[in-house]
Amino acid sequence: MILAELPDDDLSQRLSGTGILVQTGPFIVRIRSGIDDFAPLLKRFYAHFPMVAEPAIADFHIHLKQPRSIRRWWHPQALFMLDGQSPFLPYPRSHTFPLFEWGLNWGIAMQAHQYLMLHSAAVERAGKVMLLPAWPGCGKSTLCAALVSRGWRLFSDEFGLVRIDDGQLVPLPRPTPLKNKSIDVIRDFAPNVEIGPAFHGTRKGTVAHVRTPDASVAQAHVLAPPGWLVFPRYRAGAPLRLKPIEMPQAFLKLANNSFNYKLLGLQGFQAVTRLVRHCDRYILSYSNLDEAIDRLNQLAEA
Amino acid sequence: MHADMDMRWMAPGNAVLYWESWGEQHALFDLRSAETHLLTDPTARVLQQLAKCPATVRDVAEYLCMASDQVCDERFLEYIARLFLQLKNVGLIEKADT
Repeated sequence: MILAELPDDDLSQRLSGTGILVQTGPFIVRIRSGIDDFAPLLKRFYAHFPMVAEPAIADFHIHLKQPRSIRRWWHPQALFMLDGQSPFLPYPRSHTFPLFEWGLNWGIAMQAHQYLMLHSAAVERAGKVMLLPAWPGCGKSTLCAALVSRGWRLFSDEFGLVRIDDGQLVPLPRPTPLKNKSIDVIRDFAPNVEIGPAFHGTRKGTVAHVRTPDASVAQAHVLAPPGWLVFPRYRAGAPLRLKPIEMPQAFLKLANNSFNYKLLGLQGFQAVTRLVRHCDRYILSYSNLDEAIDRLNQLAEA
Repeated sequence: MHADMDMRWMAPGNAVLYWESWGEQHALFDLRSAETHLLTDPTARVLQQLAKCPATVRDVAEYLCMASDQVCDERFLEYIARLFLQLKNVGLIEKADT
């Protein structure tokens, strides 16, 4: 059963009760919510995600609720709880959906140490994954959304999940958050892509989410090997440049980009060196999305 | 300050040091400290030599010169002594003589 098949009333009732179990990539997430506005957005963005039948062991237990402080009467808020703990201060209630997305990302980054976790977008074409590792501001999400709009399979906008024992990439397709100017950039670039409501005044400015393509959700169990490491760097007005880089440089950039390289110890070292050995490696400087996509398509077809 | 020329130094073997080599650059993972080090080729050669058997700066410098058919002069000795010091500072080698 997928989430879209659950009637709205049932969804609301279950969210406010014991919750629903949703499969996202390799993870099962139990979601509970006492916040009314959240259910329609969850259903919209996770419509084709599989629901998991009870009883099942969830990897993450998320509860979105209204804090009980007096402040809630004039400034409604939402509190994110993960496994019974509230790691963040409350957010404005109107930001519940981005809070859910960020909170789940945070939970994965804190707990999923069975994988080498890269802060990276990951997209697949012709059976190989292109990793786009980058820290915020480099245009990773924009490039990822643009590639996916042109037929690449979305593995993840946020995590390169590398299976430790064989180096395979594990899909974790979820909504892609676009920030500020990127929202209109993608609206213009790919008018057919479904972008949700804009959430203004978040810590990251205005955020809007791109709905995950159904095909990427349907193939979320299909792993693939890494093929390319492309470190994107958006610079306004910059000419397109795809520059090969040597393995030591790629190793350094990748190890520094990982959420848990240090924590994994030798396994992290071996996973990163294997990635560097098996991938073609580049730095991509770009400002024009069409040019960048064309160049990356050529790379994949070569 | 350079390493004492006559002091013997040693490095752990491959049971605790894991290497990845890319031509003249090397990455090294030290299982004891869980630290990753990026080494140039000469530094890697010094470390690998010390992992085989304890040796002085002079021993290693002479070995490397012989292997590359070069003259082992004072400047080269000083260069190798600096590499010893760098390796000591990051905990990759230690004194063999107590």
